[in-house]
Amino acid sequence: MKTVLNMITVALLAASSSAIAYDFGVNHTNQTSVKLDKWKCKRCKVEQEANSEVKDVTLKTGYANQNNDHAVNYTGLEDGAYVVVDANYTRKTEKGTEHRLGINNLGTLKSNTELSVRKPGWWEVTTAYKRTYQSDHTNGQSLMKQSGSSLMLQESLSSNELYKQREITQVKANYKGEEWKHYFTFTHQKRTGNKRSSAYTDAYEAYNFSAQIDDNIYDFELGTGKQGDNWHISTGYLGSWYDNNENKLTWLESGLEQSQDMGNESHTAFVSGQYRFNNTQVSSRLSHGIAQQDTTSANEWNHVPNGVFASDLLVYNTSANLNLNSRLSNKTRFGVKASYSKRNNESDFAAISDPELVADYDSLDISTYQLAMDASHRYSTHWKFKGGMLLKSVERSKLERKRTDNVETWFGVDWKPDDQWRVGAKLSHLVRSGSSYDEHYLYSNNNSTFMRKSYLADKNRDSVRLKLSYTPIPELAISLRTAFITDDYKHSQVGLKQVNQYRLDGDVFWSPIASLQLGLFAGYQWLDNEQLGSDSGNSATWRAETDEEFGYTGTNLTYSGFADQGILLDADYLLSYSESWTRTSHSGYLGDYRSYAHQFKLRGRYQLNSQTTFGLSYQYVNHFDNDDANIASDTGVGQGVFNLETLGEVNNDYDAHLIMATLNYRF
Amino acid sequence: MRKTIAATLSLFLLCLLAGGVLAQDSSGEPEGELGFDPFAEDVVVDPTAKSSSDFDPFAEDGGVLNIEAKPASLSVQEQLNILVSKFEAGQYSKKGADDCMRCHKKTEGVADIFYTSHGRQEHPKSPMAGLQCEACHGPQGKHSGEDEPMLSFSKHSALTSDMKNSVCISCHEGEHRENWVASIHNMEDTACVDCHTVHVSKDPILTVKNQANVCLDCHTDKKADIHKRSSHPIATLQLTCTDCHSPHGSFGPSALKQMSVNENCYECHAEKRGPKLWEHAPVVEDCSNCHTAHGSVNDNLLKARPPMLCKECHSESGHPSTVPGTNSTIQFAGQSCMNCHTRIHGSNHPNGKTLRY
Repeated sequence: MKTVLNMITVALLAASSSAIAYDFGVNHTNQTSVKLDKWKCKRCKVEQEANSEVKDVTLKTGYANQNNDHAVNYTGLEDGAYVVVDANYTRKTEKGTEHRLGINNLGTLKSNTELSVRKPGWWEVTTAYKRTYQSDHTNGQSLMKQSGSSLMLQESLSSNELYKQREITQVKANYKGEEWKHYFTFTHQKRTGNKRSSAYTDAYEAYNFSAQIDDNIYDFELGTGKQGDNWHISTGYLGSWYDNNENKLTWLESGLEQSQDMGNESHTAFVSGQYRFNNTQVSSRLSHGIAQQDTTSANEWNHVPNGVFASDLLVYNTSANLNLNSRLSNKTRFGVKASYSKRNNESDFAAISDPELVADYDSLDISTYQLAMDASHRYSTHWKFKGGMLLKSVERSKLERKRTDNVETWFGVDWKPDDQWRVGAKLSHLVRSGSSYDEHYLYSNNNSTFMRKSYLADKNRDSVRLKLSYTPIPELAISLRTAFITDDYKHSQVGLKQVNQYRLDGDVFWSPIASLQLGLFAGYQWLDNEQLGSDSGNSATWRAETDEEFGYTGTNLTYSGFADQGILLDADYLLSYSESWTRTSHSGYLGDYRSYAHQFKLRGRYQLNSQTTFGLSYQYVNHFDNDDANIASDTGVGQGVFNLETLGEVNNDYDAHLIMATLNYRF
Repeated sequence: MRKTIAATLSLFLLCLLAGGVLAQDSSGEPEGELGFDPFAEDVVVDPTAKSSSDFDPFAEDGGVLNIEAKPASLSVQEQLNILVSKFEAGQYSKKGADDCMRCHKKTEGVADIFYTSHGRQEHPKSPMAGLQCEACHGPQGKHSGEDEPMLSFSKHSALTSDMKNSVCISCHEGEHRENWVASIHNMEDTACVDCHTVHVSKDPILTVKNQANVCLDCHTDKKADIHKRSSHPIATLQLTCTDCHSPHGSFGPSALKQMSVNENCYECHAEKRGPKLWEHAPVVEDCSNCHTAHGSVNDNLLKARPPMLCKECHSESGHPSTVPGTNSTIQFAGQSCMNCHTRIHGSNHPNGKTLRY
């Protein structure tokens, strides 16, 4: 026993060793000879006069010439002339209070505004507004049309722009005293637009249509904390409410109904803290909360079998985390992270009386246990070694596999032979196993006893990552990075079998003359996977290979040779390319699935005087995306693809040009 | 197009080979290089050391830091000795910032500190309300006149990332940085100043416009992801890295702000939270079972193209088990499996077991 105790003592002493990296913190200063009363900082006052104001406004105007307003994703502007405003205002009062207003891109579809009042270091109140916009396609066509909560079949195609807009309003405040800190944040997100959706009928027909988005998310966070010299503790509450204006859509002709996302809410309370002793730091967090949804009762639905009743839904979420990190010696660090989370579905399904369905409604509980350890050791000035292990276990109350276990080990090394070369490498190996796979799981209706779901199946993952940088002269820097990752689902006879990923990318920085800086970058990625299927219920009867590729290249150039005349020039170019294709052993090729974009920007700025800057810029975008699944919608049900009405050929192929003149004035 | 990208990559290899010829005797790094330095040294300073002769941070292996010394006449080791010695002696200037500004007022960027919280005298927690410039740069000692080194935060500094960070953390510790020590950034020897710029009126990483650029300088794989066919709109500045991540460390995975991947996603996609009446098990367990967070060559950030993604798990009798056809079949054309299974994230319809209603 004594030996054990001595070992623990040695370990604790090592963990709290005084051999630390030197702390130059202000808390450790020797101020015995300082006479702060003589430190007036007269030379600082010019810049921090009370009641001083800093104001600047930027006007941007020009013309966007784009034959497809999908280009909004790049430019933030619709086709035509435009005026955009940026503005910043800061005022400092005699008492040190600061008022700030910032406006960015007002007049575009992507803008933000922030207004704040604060006393730096003590308190701050901020309100902010942000608008985002993402276009999918400007012309989604369908015979099915949504009007409020109704779906209607029309005789001719109607057209809708597919887009998503988000308006975010936020109010937040915080106060920080010597020991106490209090804060709250309220955020409202209003989402509007139209998204791709589909309606399925009991007649085995599917109608793709443009579904309206009109919902709200409200988030509220409130917390308080106290801080000591080497510790702090805080507690708080997180609340979130989701509100959707349409709980269900009803197809008027048939009475069929489709559920939509119903209002839900979650409430979480947490307490967290941290304690530091010498070279060791421990932090921890505990939280408990609920998520619930008030589901409409079954008698509000049409076409529902007897014995099926919906129920209110309630889930309890609990999590606990502990992080410990210690510097064991001047060269060695050690860290441990442990976590536990539990999703406990306590929904009351007793109202479901159909015996066949009661079993199906059996709720899903999930528990996750995780332990991660990592350490690093600097062997010398040239070598540093790192390693770690991750153990993760997930337990489920049902499904084909009730427990999966992940064990991952990794090792890394950094090598710096001299000032010019730097090399880094990391290897990792992961094994996923778990409880026996129940291919006869009651609820899976699985036809194949050999099927292994990819997220539950046994697998081995191996990865190698390398990075290299070379700086032969201060004006030139080159770096290359590569990675290879392979997933082997070795015990799966049907399902995903193998995934291989390869990546290579690099960049060069070159400054041939002091006034010219040139950057060049490129990369390419391949992701290949192989999967097997079975329509016989026994061994695999078909095979599919999917190859995905992504590449990018670009350059940026800055020229400051005319800086003395107040002129700066810069240019950027970027090409990105995505592609995926799938071959199957039976019917060949799944069709074209590509996208690419060329983006080019040229900018020039001329400083007219100390207050005014004039700028000109030109932006060009060439965008293309297609999907062989996007077939024409002018074939009614029964034509083209049997019993399917699509949104049409919602591919994009366009050029966009943007010319902009800017005038910045600093008051 | 692929040839263009391949040619550019080949060019890098050529540059790598040609670069060796350009200069053999040069050292140092260009300003444009990434700030993230995995090779920063874990140097330990013995505070009892009084002279360069008895201070050796690598006594065990006799190693000497191989970082460019400023001024050139002093080794890194000698600089550290001086810095520690005068820090402990508390050899502060007579007039504080006024002494510093006498020489450095016109040094580029120095006076910009007065446009920041760090330069506010009326703010009692600001360094300018206390030891002023010397709160961060250490006691002046004989810097003026004899050019003694000061605590410097540049990449040529003699300080290790830990030493640099000790200055920042002495004030900026507490709640939102409680996991800094356990964070991957700290593990990889990242200094606060690798990401943050202090002597500017607006720290670039704290602005929507520049934050992603700073992060993606090091996270180059994510820089690629955001230009894929589908991605979160980071490239267009509608989303920033800190909307999801806590770069100072967190209790969640991958430095996420929330405790799990799903909780993080629900911040913006609260409709997926439910709980739904009919749940889709992999959705409930982890959004990343089907989606990639930063970007994908498939629409909707999916890890594979439907119906192949669905068939990684489903081979029930009937159409799930069959080989997918071309775009002349309902399995593939239009919205693939989601033509019929429209409520793929879960259904609230009492009859929605198969996620069709």
